[in-house]
Amino acid sequence: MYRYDEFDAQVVRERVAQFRGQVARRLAGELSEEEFKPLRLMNGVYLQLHAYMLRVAVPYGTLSSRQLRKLAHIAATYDKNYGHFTTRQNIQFNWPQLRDIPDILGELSEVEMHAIQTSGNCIRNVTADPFAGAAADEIEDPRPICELIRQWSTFHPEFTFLPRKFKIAVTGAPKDRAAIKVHDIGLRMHRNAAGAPGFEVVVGGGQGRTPMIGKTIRRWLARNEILAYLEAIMRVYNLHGRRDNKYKARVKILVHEIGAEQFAAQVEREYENSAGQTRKALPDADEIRRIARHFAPPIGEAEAKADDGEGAKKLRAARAADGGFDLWCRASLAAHKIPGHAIVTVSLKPAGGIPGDATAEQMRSVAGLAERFSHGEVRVSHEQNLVLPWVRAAEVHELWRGLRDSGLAAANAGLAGDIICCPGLDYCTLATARSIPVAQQLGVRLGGTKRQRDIGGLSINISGCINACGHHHVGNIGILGLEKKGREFYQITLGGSADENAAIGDIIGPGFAAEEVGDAVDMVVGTYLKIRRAGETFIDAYRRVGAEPFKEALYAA
Amino acid sequence: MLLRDGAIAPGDSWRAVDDGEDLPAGNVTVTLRRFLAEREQLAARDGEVGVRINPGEDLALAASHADAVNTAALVSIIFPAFTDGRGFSVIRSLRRQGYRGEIRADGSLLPDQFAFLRHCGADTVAIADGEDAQTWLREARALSLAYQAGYAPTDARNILEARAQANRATLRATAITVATPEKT
Repeated sequence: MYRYDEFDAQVVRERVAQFRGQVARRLAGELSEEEFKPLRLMNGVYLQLHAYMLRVAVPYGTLSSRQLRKLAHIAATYDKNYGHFTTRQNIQFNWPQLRDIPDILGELSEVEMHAIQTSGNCIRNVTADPFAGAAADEIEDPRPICELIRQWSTFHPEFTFLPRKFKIAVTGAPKDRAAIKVHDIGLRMHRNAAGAPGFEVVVGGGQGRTPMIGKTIRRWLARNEILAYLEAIMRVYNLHGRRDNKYKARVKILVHEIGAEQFAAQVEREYENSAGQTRKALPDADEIRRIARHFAPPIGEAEAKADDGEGAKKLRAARAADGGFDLWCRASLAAHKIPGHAIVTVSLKPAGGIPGDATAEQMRSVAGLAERFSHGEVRVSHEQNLVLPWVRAAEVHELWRGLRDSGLAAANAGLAGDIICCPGLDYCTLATARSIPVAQQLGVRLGGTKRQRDIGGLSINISGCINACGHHHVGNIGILGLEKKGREFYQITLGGSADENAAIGDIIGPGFAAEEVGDAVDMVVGTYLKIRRAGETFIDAYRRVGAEPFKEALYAA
Repeated sequence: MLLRDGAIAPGDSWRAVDDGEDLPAGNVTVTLRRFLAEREQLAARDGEVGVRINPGEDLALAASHADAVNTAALVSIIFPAFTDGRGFSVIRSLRRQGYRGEIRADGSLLPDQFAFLRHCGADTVAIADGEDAQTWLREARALSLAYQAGYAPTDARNILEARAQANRATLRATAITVATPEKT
């Protein structure tokens, strides 16, 4: 994991001091809310329906157990004993007092964390594959590049007052677990003809009220050119992105309006003009190596080579002996690049619970388990789950018991119960409908692990308004909460996907009342079960047959 | 009031002249349109000529007349709103195209933007008379470090340069150890 050096630490310390002064001016009445707003937003402080909300950055979704313990401490001391992990791999605290926020930021800085640029019209916290560094299918760990981007984008003098917010996602693997095609910029690592790893650059994806899949503007870009190239993209966007209409200000609209080819040509021209200057500039190779060293796997080569298959054997035996454990393993384990190890997803989606929420006790439990079983490292996924990336196969069973004791052993990762959901009208000023109660209702209705196992891989995403924080456009089943004449209703989309075959879901027909959503989802799932061929997932079946059979089932009666 | 290099600047000699308005003696700034249309008249008079660029209207024109803009004694960037950050890229682009004269930031700006403006390459910022210059000067120094390479040097220390220096120092120290083996 990356560790701050003296400079990183000082940057964050100075920012805390600066914000402490700004909060004092606000509390003393020297700053109006209007004047304070842009200042607080750049420090992750939102004003929600009932209270301030603080969004803390988890850069590229990587946390140490020490950091997770600090988050637990903040939840217990300054909030109502819980936090909410978001679809951007961050964590939100819903009930802090404004006067406490400088102290919270001070505490975060002690563990190398901050809330810088988690909101506002700037380059937001960069996200990445939650399995980065550990995934079997990975070409290279993308996090050194992510950390470079984090530093480069922090207080960028030129790009802090953009037309709109700007989100960058990075994956180092062919299987896209970072949803890079629905980000302002997505970077996908692959090898060129000469075998050198570099990045495909995808621009102009996004969700919100105008969902779009990003377009490739560069097939392959060398790693050491990333920052200079990003700078060129950002300059084109900063100068030419629309500022006349907030809803048309994201880069996806610019790319759409002038066309991907024209956008690419402008970026390349800007890059050629500035490249000489920037390529010579830092970071140099030494600095890139310095950062990369921090991300060396915590499992030594000797240990990796010494694997004799005993751990895997032990795990197989435990699975054979315990059906419940086996079901959990089927959902929760992913293939590791180091033999004898597994990547473990910890579902934050107990049936009837609030997706992504974790209590202080649960955070401490995961921190403790990470220390015992995962070299003290934890990840946050955009599915709002936690991940333990470095677990010995031989210890998976023991880890599972520990998770079960903390109520964290839901066996639904990647299944229907793994619902992605925004805070909705229970918290958010933008929301038009509640989303959490819908998730809770569905979580119970979708049934136990065995039924979900039978349904197979299925993503359900719920957003409480068209801003789409619950990523409903890219859910296999998307649910969008709207409001008409004072009543909440829910529009259903089908066929969305957030992976390497990213797709925007199709609106299936008129919306449903809150109490009808459960039946509607049941109907969709039932239709799929009837039409599917052997081994066919929901999304594959949908792509084969299209929307018609589902419309028929939902609206024919 | 004018702030320069993190301090209050002594009196401002520049006068902003509108389109169609008679040109007074002394240093003047004119709109980009007028600057391009009346180059000969402007060059023939006493006093220096600066140009005002409004990122809201002048982007294409400024880009296609970079050589002409480069001859101005002052370029004043008029920010239409503090949330409109195009001016930052305009300043950066001016420096990149080789403009060496004074760049001034004017219009709707926040004290918190002062440091960023200087970092992009602005020399001066014009603030409204009612504003507290001390707040601006304090905010300009709120962050003493910067990560971005290749931007204008200011009093903020560049982290990447500092790290490169530290790396070189480590290498030198290692080299010395190797070059001078211990005497036995």
